[in-house]
Amino acid sequence: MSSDAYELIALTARYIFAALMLLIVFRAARGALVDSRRASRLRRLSPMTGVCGEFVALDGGQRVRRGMRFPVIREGAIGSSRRADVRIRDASVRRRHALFQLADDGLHVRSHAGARLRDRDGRAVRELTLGDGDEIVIGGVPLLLVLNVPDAPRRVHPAPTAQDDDDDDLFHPDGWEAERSSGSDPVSPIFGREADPFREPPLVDRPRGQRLQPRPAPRPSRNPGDISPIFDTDPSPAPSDGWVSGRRPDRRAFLDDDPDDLFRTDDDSL
Amino acid sequence: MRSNTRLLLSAVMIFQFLSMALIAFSGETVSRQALILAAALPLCTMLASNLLGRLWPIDRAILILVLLLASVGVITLSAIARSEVTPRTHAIYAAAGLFAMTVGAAFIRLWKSWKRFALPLAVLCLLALFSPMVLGQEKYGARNWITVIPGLLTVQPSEFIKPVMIMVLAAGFSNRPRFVKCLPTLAFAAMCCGILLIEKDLGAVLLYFLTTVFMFYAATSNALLTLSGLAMGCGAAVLAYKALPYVQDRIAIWINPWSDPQDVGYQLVQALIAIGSGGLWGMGLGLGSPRNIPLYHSDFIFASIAEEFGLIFAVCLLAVYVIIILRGLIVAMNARTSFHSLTAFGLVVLLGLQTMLIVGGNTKLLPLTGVTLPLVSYGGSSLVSMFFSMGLLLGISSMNAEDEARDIEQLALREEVMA
Repeated sequence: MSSDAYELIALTARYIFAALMLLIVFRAARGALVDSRRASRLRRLSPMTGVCGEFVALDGGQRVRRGMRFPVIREGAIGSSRRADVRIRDASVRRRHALFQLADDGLHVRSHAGARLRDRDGRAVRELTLGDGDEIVIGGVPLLLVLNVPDAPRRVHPAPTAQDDDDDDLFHPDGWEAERSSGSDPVSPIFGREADPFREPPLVDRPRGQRLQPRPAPRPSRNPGDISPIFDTDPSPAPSDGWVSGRRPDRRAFLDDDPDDLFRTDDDSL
Repeated sequence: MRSNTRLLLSAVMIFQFLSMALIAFSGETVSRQALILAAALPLCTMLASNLLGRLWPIDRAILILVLLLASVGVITLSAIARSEVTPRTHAIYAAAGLFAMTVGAAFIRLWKSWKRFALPLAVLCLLALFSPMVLGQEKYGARNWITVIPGLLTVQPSEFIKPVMIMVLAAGFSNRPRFVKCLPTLAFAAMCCGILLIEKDLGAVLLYFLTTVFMFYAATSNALLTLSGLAMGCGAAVLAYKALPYVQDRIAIWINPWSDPQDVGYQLVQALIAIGSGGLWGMGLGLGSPRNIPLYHSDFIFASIAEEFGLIFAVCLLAVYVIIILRGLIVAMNARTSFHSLTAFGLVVLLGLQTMLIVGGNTKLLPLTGVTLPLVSYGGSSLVSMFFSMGLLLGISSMNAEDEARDIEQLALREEVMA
């Protein structure tokens, strides 16, 4: 090709190359924006994204109640600090109590800086591998691990028998009653206000300072063949931190700093 | 769950074909090598995108943009190099880089016990960085090259150590450790910087130091310690300026290259003239004269591209880097473990810092540091290691996509999300 012809073609082609590059940049930027919006929509619709399981409190402490659930991600820290990934607000739990990491053989939990960790038999351990259904005591709070990951090792519990139904206080709303923070007698059942059959209690209307706590559950029988060990807990009542009765859990609370409100599973609305 | 990349892929393939076809007819005779590359570049881009995309659910947009950058390097070298050996060698290195990218993606997907292997990898890094002092020779003012085959193949270990160092840092900083637990990792990074300082590779020292600082802040969110580290780095830079004469020369040239445009300032002056000559649209492929710039094929390839293709094209090239970095940051944020998150973060930070340093040096915004333009500059070690780094990033993106798909399946929200 002659140099003049090539020069003409090259001078024309530079506009084409610039246009192609602009198209590439525009298309790539638009793709990034679309993908980002889809990911945001997914996170909005399912705040449990990234959660591989949960810890269920088997017994209460100061601010932890039996049945409370704490979502577990792949890796993080357990503690009472706001920055902890699994935040257990109890005096026996340090700000950064233990570290956990999901592996193929289960959830590895490791004590941090000598914090107290016990297995289901009460033995003090520094490191523990938990499968689905395993128990662990962190500080003074016994927890049961529920893993949603497929192929996770599972612990088989004996099936509950027919006479065990009455022991399941988690699902008996009559078992919950109100108690004022001053320690006076319980006022009324359920939502901490005087019983009025003709009046529909509002969704969230609790007098300031009023505290709610579960009625002490009867101690289950220790005979063999009885209910699962997960219900074999100290039934002494624990003061609660508050009640989120009647309020549908806010999915976005998972993304907030204080996710406590989302996982109060003794909420009747669930 | 990702956007369609067919139009993006088509545009890249058209650009590759048209530009190489034009170069094939630039001389008096048709260049057979350029014709082969005109067919090979789009074919390899398409095959890599389809094969890797079917193998793992990678982020195809990142892959296509990475291949675009590599092809811009091959095209520019084909247009401006004095002999055909340079672009041919670069294309072969790019092919090796594709293989390294696949290895990187597979490696990060399979590697589970990063904590256990962090220490052996750190020792390996230090030995590899130290090896040029024993086996290597000085080149372009820095002793960081090892000759593998005399006259044919030289290797720069500091380039290959970059992704490995990032993985070691990520393993050390993972799971939000306290400062005391970070000290061994920080000591490792300091030793790497010290070895490179002795070898006079200041560009690599700057990159390693800043990457470490950024990763430390991302891992711990400790602004006080991070700023303290930055302050220590500034202090070290001032000491280096006072103690090392070549640093003083670099700063002086950067401040006023016109004070000696025929000698020490010649390179920078020619680069600025080249960028200015290109204007908005460029002088045309093969019509410029970037060979006036010393090291036009490596350190100053950005000035060559700006002259040949124009400022609009050059800015779009920078925009491509920005998009890769943004998508890489999204990969880092969506990673399910802190190790993968920090690794992805460190890789894109390294890419961004390196791009900023070399483009800033070309345009006199920053002093020249002797690093290469990632994926574009001529240099086998840099190209292969950067492809490997991008492979790690793609591997992490594929793991994110698999976890995301699992979450959607579990929640049975597929139709709602895809609407």
